[in-house]
Amino acid sequence: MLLTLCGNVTHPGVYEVNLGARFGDVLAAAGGTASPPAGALLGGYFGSWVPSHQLAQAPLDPDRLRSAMGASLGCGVVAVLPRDGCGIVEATRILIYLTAESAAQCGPCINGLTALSEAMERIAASQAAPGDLDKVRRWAVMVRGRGACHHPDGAVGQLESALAAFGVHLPVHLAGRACHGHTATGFPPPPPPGDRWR
Amino acid sequence: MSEKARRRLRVNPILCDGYGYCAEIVPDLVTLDDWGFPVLAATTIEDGDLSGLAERAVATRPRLALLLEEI
Repeated sequence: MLLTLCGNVTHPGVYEVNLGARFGDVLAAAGGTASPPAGALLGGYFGSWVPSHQLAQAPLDPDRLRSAMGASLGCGVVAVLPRDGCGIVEATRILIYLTAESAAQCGPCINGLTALSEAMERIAASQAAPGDLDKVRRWAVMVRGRGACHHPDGAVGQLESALAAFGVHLPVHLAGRACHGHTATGFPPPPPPGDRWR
Repeated sequence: MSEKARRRLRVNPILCDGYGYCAEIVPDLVTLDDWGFPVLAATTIEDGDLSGLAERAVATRPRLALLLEEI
């Protein structure tokens, strides 16, 4: 299969890898990473975050990856987070981008993704209001499966996987302590939000 | 056919503007999310009170976004 490696990778690019290869071996073949990875987003913007301790062993095989860590390879893009990067911050940036890219046809997507983005922006900035995280978890469930298309499902799936993968880091954000992930470089930022779709 | 087919409610999320009449008419089958848009129970509708209320909810839909489908 073809795998696109980007972010914290010494030699980013498209690699042909054997089905079932371990991600750690593929990363080594790409020259390793500039800094120890803090995690990675597998499968692009509708994909799943995998925490650093599971990354090396992640099997690059859709079925085994799903059963081992509930992730999928989607479009085959893997973006590796640098050591000082923050998965909560990056997942929020992606969520905000996907919210702006909504076709804005269905209430649950228009309202749900907007509310999720606003709450996650506060959490990522370590300025969470009381109950923000509970609302985010509730809204993610509320939105899923209720659009005419699966755009909102992919958007909340990415978010939920980040909350699970970086759950140990969430208290830093919720306690209002500064997170250095905001200034980290090396993870590809989403394009600037354009005008709403059409 | 003497026996009525089993049915369930479906919403067209593109047409729906969140008027919320359906949830007032048949709250056992339709609740509203935090923004006033319908969340449908997965309940199968057999003949009875619920069936009549579901039909009324469908008849009242301002945006023609709610329908009863046979399963």
